[in-house]
Amino acid sequence: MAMYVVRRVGLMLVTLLAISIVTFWIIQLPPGDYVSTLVAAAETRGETISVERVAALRERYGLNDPFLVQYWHWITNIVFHGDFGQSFAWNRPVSTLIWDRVGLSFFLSVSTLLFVWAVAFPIGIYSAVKQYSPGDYVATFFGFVGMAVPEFMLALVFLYIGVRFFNQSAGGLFSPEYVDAVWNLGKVLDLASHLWLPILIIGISGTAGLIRTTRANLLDELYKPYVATARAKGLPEWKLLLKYPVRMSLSPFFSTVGWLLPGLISGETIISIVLSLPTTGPLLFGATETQDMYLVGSFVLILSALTVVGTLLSDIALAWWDPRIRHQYQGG
Amino acid sequence: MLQTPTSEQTARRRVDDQPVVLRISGLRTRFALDDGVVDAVEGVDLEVRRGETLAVVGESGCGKSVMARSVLQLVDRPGRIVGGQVWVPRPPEPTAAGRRRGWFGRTRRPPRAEEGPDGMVGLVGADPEVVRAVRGKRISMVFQEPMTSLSAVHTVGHQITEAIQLHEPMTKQEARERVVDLLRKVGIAAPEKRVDAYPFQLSGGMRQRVMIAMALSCDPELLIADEPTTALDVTTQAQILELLGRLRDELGMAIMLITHDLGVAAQLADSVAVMYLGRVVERGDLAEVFRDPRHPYTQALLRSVPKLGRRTGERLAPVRGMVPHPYARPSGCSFRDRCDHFIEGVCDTALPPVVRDEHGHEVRCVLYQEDRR
Amino acid sequence: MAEKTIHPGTRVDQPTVLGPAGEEVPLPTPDAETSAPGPEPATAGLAVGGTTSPWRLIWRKFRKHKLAVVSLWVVIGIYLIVAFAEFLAPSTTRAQDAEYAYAPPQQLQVWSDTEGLGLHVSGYTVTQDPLTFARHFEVDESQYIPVGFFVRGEPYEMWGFIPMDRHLIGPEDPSQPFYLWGADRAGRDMLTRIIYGSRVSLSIGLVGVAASFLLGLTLGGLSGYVGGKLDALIQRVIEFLMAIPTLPLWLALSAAVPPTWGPLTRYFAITVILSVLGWTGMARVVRGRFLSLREEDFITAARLDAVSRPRIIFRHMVPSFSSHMIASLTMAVPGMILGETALSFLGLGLQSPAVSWGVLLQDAQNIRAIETAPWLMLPGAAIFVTVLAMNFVGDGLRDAADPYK
Repeated sequence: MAMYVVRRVGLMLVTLLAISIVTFWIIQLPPGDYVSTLVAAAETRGETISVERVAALRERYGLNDPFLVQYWHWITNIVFHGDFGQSFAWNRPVSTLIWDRVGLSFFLSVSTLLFVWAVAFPIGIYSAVKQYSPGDYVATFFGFVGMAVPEFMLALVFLYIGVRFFNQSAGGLFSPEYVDAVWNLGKVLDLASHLWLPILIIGISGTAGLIRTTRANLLDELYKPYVATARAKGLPEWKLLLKYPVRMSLSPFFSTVGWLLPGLISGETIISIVLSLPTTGPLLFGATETQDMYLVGSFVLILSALTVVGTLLSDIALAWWDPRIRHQYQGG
Repeated sequence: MLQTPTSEQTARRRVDDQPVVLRISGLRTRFALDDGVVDAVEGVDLEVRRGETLAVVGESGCGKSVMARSVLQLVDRPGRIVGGQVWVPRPPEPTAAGRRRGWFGRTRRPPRAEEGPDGMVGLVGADPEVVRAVRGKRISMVFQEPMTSLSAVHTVGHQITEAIQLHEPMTKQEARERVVDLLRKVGIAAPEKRVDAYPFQLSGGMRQRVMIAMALSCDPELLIADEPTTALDVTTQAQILELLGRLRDELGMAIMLITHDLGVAAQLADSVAVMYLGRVVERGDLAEVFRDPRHPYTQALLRSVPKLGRRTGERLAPVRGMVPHPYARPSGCSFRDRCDHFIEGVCDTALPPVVRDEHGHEVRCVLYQEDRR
Repeated sequence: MAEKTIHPGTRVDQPTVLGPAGEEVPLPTPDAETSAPGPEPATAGLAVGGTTSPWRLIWRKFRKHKLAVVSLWVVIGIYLIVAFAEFLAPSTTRAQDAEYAYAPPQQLQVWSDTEGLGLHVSGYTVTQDPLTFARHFEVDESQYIPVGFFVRGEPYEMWGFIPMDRHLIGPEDPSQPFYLWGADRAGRDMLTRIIYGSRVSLSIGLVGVAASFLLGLTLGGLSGYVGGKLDALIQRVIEFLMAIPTLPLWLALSAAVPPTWGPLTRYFAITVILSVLGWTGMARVVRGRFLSLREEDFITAARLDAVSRPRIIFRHMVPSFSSHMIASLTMAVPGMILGETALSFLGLGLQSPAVSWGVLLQDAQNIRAIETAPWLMLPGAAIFVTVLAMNFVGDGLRDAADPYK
């Protein structure tokens, strides 16, 4: 088990390295660099910056260095100083802009994940055990519908219903009076009352997908010989189901948590833009529009890193859950 | 099989006076598939007495496995038992621990099951509680695939302990000691260590031993072994058969051995039932049936097996023709298309009656009908 | 062929599915019966394993999935709309009339109290709020606008090169308003724009899937067949790509797309972005299939017969998983469509004047706009129906892909 964890952590570090390189490459992708942006900004103010000064600035920011050297400066600053670079549009260090929003994004995604599990598992299990029952058909239909509605469309519909029939805006995470308030019980309750809608919207496609997956996985297991063995022992049906096939069908599920998470982050991003939630989504969106690449890159890096860590945790959970995987790496 | 007289004195003389542990009467199991209906078991009557070993033989697809599963009500969808009854001695009342109270402390009505003669109960249509009290305790089962018949995510010890604790009032520790004993009994080396092993850490033969240990864990009266050695190599096969025989003699239990291998049947069984397309076509004392096979199918089957001491150059004769498609079984005698003694207007009109001689050797064929001789 | 007596309910016409590149792939017809009709008609049509071709079995199993069959027709219908968009649309995407900005949908009627029988819609009366200058539309039953089929209207070029001006349906007098699904803020017909938008939205799905299919097939196949170090490397890349949340990455990549690019270049950039991230799922399926097939006895037998490697792959392995591939492809198209829509919706994909469903939905981003004109959300309904139908077809194909199961 320890070997396995070490191995997985090693793999994760490699993945993180790859992600950071890709991110930096994306940051560098648009034509122009920090200094040319500065020059352009100065020109719009009617100032001019001398050619010598431009060259000096380039030298100072290391923009003449090869890609890998620049990357090295960038990543070491992040890792050792928490410095993600400068946002052109906000004219502030990126690190001062993102952490609040990353926190809320993370919170929203994890809440949604829990919601998805709580809803999808019981329904998926029921659907498989009672295959072809009316309940199964309803669940299956909901599953298909849930996968076919674009999340942002759902958000729009909810917005429309909110405005049209309840005369209130469904957007935002806080009521106006709490937006700038310090955290207290009232603010937490207010957050909770605003949170359920985004969670529902973001979670619907994930829930639909997971219902389908759970059902399919469980149907694969339900008629395997070991189930007959357990039944032949005289185990009561529900206990048997939960202990044997359901447990087995959860193995592929654990390995897909890692894929569910990126999907939730994506959904969270677009929903936050539509519902204007103060999470990473709108800021990231705004940054892409202004080509504020350090800000964009930082978000991609952090969100990806969080996802990779989540995937790692789910892999470790899988190994703890399934002795076959645990033993595969024993001593190796 | 309506004409079949109940066969009280069939099978081995040795066990004739022993009590019946399983009586199957008119059992029918049907699979409603997308493309049609398959009657996998079409009216089977069988009986197993204490200490007896009955071999059920037949080609693949003759319904012997489905029949065995039907006994413990283990047929998966789309299969369903549509007729007949499986009689077993009334199981003990569920223990206080096993007998859960209904919701809100409501006392439950006593479990319901069809009452039969000699204090037996019918498992078909019985309450799940009754069936569960029989499963694993009175009748246990060993399956064909040792590789997939054990849960891969639970230790061997856990899986056997669970079976014990379901039926016996034992603490975990006692049950564990019993598991170690059982594993030693079925010939597993270092049982104290193996008890914590996962199935995938064991070989196929070992797993089948574990399956047998699990089946024996509650001292059943009858062990149904469904092709227990098919997936194993010949050496392991011989060891497992020997183990089964030894345990049967030690524990005095009965065995119903499902196999397509006449050699396996000959090695272990006292009596034999030959199945063809969901029906028993011949049954009787094993030595008797093998020495003097009556049904043309049994004869053909025995001709297809190589024997020691046979003249060299003599060819093996496979059973003529193909097993008919399950959707399109012949009317009348289901073997008629492949039979050398086919009589037009007789074999294809009605199901042949069961004919029985004074030794209890039964055959379902018109050739042995009194009025036709 | 006694096909009709064997399958009394069988349609004779031959359905098709759309292949990865948009070409029509004929599905096996039911009359490919190889087994001779037996004496009993009741059993002759039943599956007798081994005597029927796998494609025929797949088709028969697929046909059982009623919802999938209906969906297949819906999908075919939608792609026909794509093919004949110019003719089917009542107007063109450029035609606008500021007079009718945000005009609500009209109802197509056949009976009028004044004019009697005749296909028509009713006109509008417009009132303007004196304070806000907001215009308010009222459908006016008294204004009778006759509607006809194959009428002359806005000129267009069919498939970009045949000049025409006939439309399937439209007002007899082209100058009169005809907005079955309402109008957008510039007074353009939503129905027309949705029909035109289907072109981009649906073709990007196919092109994207074709591209990711090629990538996935090549890399997944290599990974599964060669194995070893290459397999490990490709697996790492796949895991890496799957670990990244797609939308932020899309956002980042499309931020890097220069705003000066034209619609066609953007179209390709979006396709590339979508398929670069989309091939991983395909590759996993292919690899998994290859791995399990490699262990199959018939592959070993072929190898022992000294069959060459390409021949093993293309003659033995590919046919055995092509049905799975088609199912996976069908399942992948909706994902691409949703991806394009999301990107365009955010204004990062295609941009006006290009028309796609996502671009159309951009107008619905503003809560004020959808409050006054909820029909701006109609492209969302189009997406929903398309994706739902495709998912059903994919599901039916996947269930049918394993006919021997």
